[in-house]
Amino acid sequence: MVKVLIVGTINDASLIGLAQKLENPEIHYLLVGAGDAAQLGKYGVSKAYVLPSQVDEHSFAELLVDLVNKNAYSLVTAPINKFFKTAIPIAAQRLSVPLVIDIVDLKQVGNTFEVVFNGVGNRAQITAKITDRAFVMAPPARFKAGEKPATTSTEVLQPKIISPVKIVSTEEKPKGKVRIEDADSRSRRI
Amino acid sequence: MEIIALVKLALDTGQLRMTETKLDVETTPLKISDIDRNAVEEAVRLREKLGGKVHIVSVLKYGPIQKRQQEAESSLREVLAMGADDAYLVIDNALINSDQLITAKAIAATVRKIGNFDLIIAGEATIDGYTSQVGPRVAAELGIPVVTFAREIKVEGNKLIAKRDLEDVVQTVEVPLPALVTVTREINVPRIPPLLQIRAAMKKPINRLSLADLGLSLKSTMEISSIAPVQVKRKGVIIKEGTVDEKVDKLIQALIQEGIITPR
Repeated sequence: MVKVLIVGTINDASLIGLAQKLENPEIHYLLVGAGDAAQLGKYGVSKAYVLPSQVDEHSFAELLVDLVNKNAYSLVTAPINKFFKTAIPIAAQRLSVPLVIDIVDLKQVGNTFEVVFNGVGNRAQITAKITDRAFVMAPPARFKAGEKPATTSTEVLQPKIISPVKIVSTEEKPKGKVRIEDADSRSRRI
Repeated sequence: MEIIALVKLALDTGQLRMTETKLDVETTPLKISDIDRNAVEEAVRLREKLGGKVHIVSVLKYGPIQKRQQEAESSLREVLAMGADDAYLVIDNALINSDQLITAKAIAATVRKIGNFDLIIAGEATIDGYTSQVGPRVAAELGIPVVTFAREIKVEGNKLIAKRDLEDVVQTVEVPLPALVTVTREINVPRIPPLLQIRAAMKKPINRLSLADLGLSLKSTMEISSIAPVQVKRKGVIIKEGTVDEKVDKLIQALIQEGIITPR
């Protein structure tokens, strides 16, 4: 049995589909933010850790390291976004575990994971083997979780806030349509 | 101020040598990863303002070493010409095609060898891997804070102030130094060095290091079995009808339909 931890919001639950590619996985979910953890049981999640409010990347990495050490997960998966692209590599380095980003497919042979991922500027698909433990990240929409009812036990986590990074201000980006001339001037800068 | 800029000698994705079934990594030319040029530019600007030195750290990840060493050093001369003071190039067979875990260990060991530093600057991602892993991993290895995706930075006293470009927001943060920051392309326009600086760069030191020099013995935790080119067939859709705004709307709808972008 492979112990898998899915990390994400309730909207990232289709990543469970990636874990379901493995033989007889024990699936846990670290649910970030609001959402009904019990509904994850529909897809075979046996344990849901709930982090009710968003924390900074450093504190999240610390929490993840503790959780992986406590439960000895062989596979940790997370969605691709800037928060996780910061937090997950920190945790992976602390645990000395490789991390594959933009994973397309996953197989398991014994204690080896065979991963297929996009690379070389999205011009190639790379196949690689990782033994024992791996972290992987993917766009959740790439996978589809099949229904496999299980009873989910829930535990609310209280993270330690350890970040030396102080948020001074947060400004919403403008939404909606961008004027052609604005887009043009931005592309020239790039 | 002692600044270290991380530079990747990346596969030039514009000049990939590939057939229908195989990507030939060994014959594909290397180039300085584009966003790392922004990192070097920002490091040089800070040095010009605050004094100190800019050191370049790079790890050769693509072999064969015999062929690549000269190519790597020529590329590093380009960032030395931009104004960096010296470069450290880690070359070792164990690092060829290695994963980011051991790359970060090699970089962190090199940083320790350089000694005191205030700030490490890296690009948000590299043009070939685009994983954004190495910056946060190096920071974790060194036990220093990391600020990612910065599009504006300044140093005030002993702290770094950065504007982070996140998905829906721009976040301004403060962090005590030493720290590591990864920067986006938007942060600056890298300079094109004049001939005089290009010639001066030929005399700047490039320090070659092996893992043994760094006191490390590493083995990649990931074994690459194959690299296959992705075959992309163009759909050849041309949007001809309508005004510019209408064409843009049609293009957006087509991109949504293909699953390339997601509406907010």
